[in-house]
Order: sequence, then structure tokens, then C-alpha cells
Amino acid sequence: MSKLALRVDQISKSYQIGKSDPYAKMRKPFVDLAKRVIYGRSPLLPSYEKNNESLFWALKDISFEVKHGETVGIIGSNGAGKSTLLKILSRITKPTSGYAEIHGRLGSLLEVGTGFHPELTGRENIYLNATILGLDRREIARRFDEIVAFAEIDQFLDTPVKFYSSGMHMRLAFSVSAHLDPEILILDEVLAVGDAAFQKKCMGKMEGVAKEGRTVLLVSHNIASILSFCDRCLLLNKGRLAADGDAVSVAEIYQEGQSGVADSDPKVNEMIISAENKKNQKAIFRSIALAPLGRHGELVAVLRVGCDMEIMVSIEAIKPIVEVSVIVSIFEATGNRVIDIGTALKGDYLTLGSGEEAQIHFTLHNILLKPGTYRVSLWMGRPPTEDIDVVTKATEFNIEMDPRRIKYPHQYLSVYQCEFTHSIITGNASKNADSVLN
Amino acid sequence: MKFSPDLTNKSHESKVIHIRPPQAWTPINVVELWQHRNLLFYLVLRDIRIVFAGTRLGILWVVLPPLATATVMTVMLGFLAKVPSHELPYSLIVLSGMVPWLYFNNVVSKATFSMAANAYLLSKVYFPRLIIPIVPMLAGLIDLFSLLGVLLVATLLFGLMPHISWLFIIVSLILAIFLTMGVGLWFSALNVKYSDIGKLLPILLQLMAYASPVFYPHSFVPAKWYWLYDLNPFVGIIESVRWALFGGNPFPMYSFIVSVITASVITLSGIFFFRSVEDTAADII
Repeated sequence: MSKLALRVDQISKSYQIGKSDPYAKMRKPFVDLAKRVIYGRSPLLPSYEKNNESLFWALKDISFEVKHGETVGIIGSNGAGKSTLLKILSRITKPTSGYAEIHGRLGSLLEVGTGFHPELTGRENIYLNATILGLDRREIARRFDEIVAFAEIDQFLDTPVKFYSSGMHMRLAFSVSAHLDPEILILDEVLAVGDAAFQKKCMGKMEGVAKEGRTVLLVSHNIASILSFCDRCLLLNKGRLAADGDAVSVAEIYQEGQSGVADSDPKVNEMIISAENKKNQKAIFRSIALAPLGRHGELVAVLRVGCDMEIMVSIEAIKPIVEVSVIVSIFEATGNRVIDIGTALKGDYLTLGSGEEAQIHFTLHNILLKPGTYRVSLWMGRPPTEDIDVVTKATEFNIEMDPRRIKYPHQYLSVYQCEFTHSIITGNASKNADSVLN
Repeated sequence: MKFSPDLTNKSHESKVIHIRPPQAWTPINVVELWQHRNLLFYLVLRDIRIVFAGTRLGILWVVLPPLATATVMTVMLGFLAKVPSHELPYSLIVLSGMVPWLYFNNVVSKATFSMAANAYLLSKVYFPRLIIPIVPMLAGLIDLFSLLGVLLVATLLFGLMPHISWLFIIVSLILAIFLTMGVGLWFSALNVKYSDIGKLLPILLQLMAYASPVFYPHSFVPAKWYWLYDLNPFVGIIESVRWALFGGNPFPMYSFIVSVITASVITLSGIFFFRSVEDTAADII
């Protein structure tokens, strides 16, 4: 049985909303006393003044326990109370009510490079920063060379930090943070800084920390980093603990909440396409609807990698159209065109009389695009000569990662992930080499 | 819980951090302050380094401005206004007043804004918040002792001989440091809650400077007002420094006792007031 590292018992934290008036508080006892004298009320009775300031509960009745060696992710949308919880656990601010206890040495890293001062040299800043983060002088001395080597700044150790390039500054800051050695480590989304190469280095270091069996609490928006570091995940929603369980299932609940669908009730997302300035066209697109489908063809709340999706396009012909093709194109946020589907690709063309309507259903199977936002555009015409209607931004959709399919912890770099099979053949290296030679 | 031979578990047991809502009248955790002495040291070092960063004259900048002020005051009050100085060089009167006063003036100014200036630390890491206003008190000691050196050299140059009573200056300065700490704590905590305090402070300090015998001797005040004037805790501090250095008058017992009592009350109450504000400081700043 592993030991308790952290116990949080009904922690709540409230803030006052709106303009706080500290002077009102200062006035209050005098005003109160004056009123008591005037109205002859006993000083033992409670105050006349009602506390009518509106309170905002950043956290409400949060309770959980963390055992030593657990890596716990804390996820939630902006304003869910993640940072407030970390601030309370790292004792930066106190809870309004409740109790928490921490067993063991706690290091919290809510920002990289806390306390760096531009006028101080690299060496002095290492000592200052490490001291702020809770190391004593002996521990710093022991790690000093390692920190300098990791940051690659040995030449500039005695130069004031204000002369450092921003990259050097960042490397030094992270290096100090990475060499903290607490039993319980609290991390905010500090990894989301720097260029790709630097992030990679940081991720490697963090993974090392998580795998050493240390207790880690990681706050993030990013499901991928939660899934790669954490076994367990807490979901905060509007200051309350909405879910607590294994990282994969909590991540799924979070995605469903994020999709904006209340009570994770799946529904078809339909967009009406404006017909303004299209009076003279032969035909127009009326609407487009997207429906994410699950494994068994059922409607689901979240479109995840590997899902199917149905696209329904309605068309209205104003004048007669003959042998027309309809194309749906999907673009990455960066503008790359990644998918084209169209009736013509299947050798199918559409003919409508004036005033007639048509609905075209496309079903995309096993969409293996990388998670992100995609734009859908529509085109109708007679390739390659005639454009009848073009809608560059008909609608948008999001693809979320599928927490159950992830075996490789890092995010996809490629746009498209095709299905593949693999096998690994192992054997004695020298023997294989021999067989090749012979 | 079962018996566990694992020694590391023992160390976990011994370090349990309790997190509770703010409570009224929390005493100072002296052990915790001591554990954070390194942080205090590096923050003091930081403050000292920043002051001198990039300057050619370095520590000379500590003594040059007060020497300039002392010269101006000597000319204005000593030669032009002819304030009586009892056979003593007027510049010694001014310098001896300025040694404790400038420390108080500079440190209280810095301490008042210290919480806001270090908001970036307060909102990112935990440490006993009391360290923040204490940092300028320690960093200011460099200035205090440099100026004291100047005063002693000047006294010798004016032909006064060292005397055993000079040692009493240490006592007076310790009293000045405590008074500074108390007032500094009060103002740093007040400024967290009420930002107007920061604007009011320069005016208060200016009034205080003229209500204390900084630039003129105590005898310049009409004797019938001594009972009121001596309630200013700075009278006892400055007058005891002058008594120790120049001798002459009897020891200012009444005003010195007033200073001791005031300094103790302000310091103790300052610590408690600061403690009552520090819990919410990270939320307000």
C-alpha cells in the first residue's frame, strides 16, 4: 500500500466580483457603531450591514487524495479553477474554507524563471532562482554544473542576464526548474514555451521526472500532455470537481464538455448558407450539416480521430442545371487543402429543374486527420469550364484526439495518419550480418 | 498504518504541510523564517547589487547625496539662519541627525512599495511573506554603516576625541532599526490594502523629518513644548546619538524611554498587522 502524498478536503475559494472597496471595510465598524447608537441596538447583536457583495466561487468543495508515486493531471477549460487549486496547494494563497495536507517536500513550478533579475549575472540568478524554488545552498552547489551544462551557457555565467539572448534566458530558466528535486512536484503549463526544439528537450526531461516514480500534479489544457504523463486525471468544471478517474476516461468526458454540447447530447451541426448577392446564379447552396458518427454509425457528441462523419449539403436550383458536380473540400487551419470529396469522383452528376431542391449526403469513413480545426468549403459547377456556386467557408469542425487509441504519447506532427500494420523481427545482430554477407 | 521499515517514510511523516483558511492572530513561525534565511540573503544581495549596477562610483553614491544635503542644511540653517549649535560645528549636528533619519526614511519608503514590487514573486512561489519588507531593512544597513563611518571620520576631523560613550551609538541605531522595521511593516501592509498610503507617505516622511531634530539641535525647540515634542520617537534616537558622540548635555532619558516603548509597540503590532494582511496579499496585489 503506498503512502498518502496529498489530501484535499472540501477546499473552497471565493473571490469578490466587481469593484472592491477597501475603504468601505475600514468605514464599516464606525458606521455600524453609529447606527447601533442611533437605533439603540445591543452591540452583541450581529451587524446591521448585510454582506451584499457578490462572491465568485473559484473552487467549491474540492476533495481528493493523491498517493506517493501517482502522476495526476488536472484538466478543465479556462476559469475552471485549475490555477487557483495549484496556488492553494503551493501555498501562494489560502483557501476560504476547507483543509489540505501535504506529506513530503513540495516543489511548485507555476512559471519558468521566477525571480530572474536582469542586473544579476547568470550565476547569481541560478542561486537566487533555485533558492526561491526551495533549494538550499548545498543542493544548489551540487547541481550547479549540471544546471549550467543543460542550459549551455557556461561562457556567459558571469555576464548579467540582461545581455542574454531570449533563448539563453529561457534555457537557463528551464534548466534551474528542471533540476528541482522535490518529492511532490506541482506543474502549471510551463512547458508551452519556447521553440519546438526547446519544448522537445523540456518534454524529455519532464517525462524522465514522471517516470522516476515521483508524485506529479500537472495542470494543462492539453489532453496530449496529460495523457502522456498522467495515469489519473481530475476534471474541474466551474470550480467543482466534475470527474476523477483514469486519464483516458476523464479526457473523454472533458472533450465531450468542450464540444459545447450540453449534457453531452449529440446533435447535428447545421449551418444555413447566406444567399446574398447570388440572385443571378443558376443554383445555390442552401445549407450544410455535419454529423459525427461513432463506431456503430450512431450520432456522437465529439468527432474524434478515426470517427466517421456525415456531411449533408442542400442545393436549390433557381434555373435548370444539367450534369453538375458538387465538391466538398476540407482545409487545415493553415490553409492547406487536405481532402476533396465530390460526386464527380464517383462519376455521378446532378441535374435539377428550375425551383427544384436536392440533398446530397456524403459519409467520410475513418477520418485520420490530426486533431485540430478544419474549414469546409463547397463548390458546384461543371468542371473544368463553369463555376455555379462557391462557398469558401461553409462551416468548421474540430477533430479531437481519441484518448483510447493513443499508444504513442506525443502529438501527431503529420496531418494525416493512415491505417497501418506492422511487425518487428528481432534476432542476433552478428548472425544476421553473416547471413547477409553469405 | 502498518509498520514500515522504509526510512524514507519517516521523513515524510515529519514534514506535513497543513493548508487552512486564514486565521486571525497567527504567531510568527520563527523556524520557517530561519529555514528561508538563504532566500533572504539572496534577495538582500539582489537589492544591493541593483543599486550599484552599472555605476562607476559604486558605494560613493551612498554617501554623496547625504553629504550634499548636509552641506546645504549647514549653510542654510547654520550660517544664514544662525541656529545655535552650542560650540559644535553645525555640519556635525546635521550629519549625526541624518545617520538614523536617512535609514528610516529610505527603508520605510522602500518597504512600503516592497510588496507591490515583488508581486511577481508573491504570486508564483510560497515563502514567509515577512521576508519581503525585511529585505530593504537589511539592504539599507550598508547605507547606514557607510554614513556612520562618514560621521565618525567627520567628528575626528573636527577635532573631537574618541570616547567610550561612542559605543552607545550601537544601542541607538538598533533602536532606530527596530522603529524602522515596525513602521516599515505597518506601511507595507497598509499599502497592500490601501494604495493611497503610497501617495501619502512622502508627505508624512517630510513632516516627520521637520518634527524631529534631524537638521537642527533639540535645544532649538522652545522648552515649554518639550513634553509634546519628545513624544516623537525619533527625538530619543537622534539625541542619544548626539549625547554619545559629543557629550555635553545629560543623557536624554525621557525621550529615550519614549523611543524604546514606541519602537516595541510599533514593531510588535506591525508584525501582527502584517500577518493579518499577508494571507490575502497574493490575491489583491
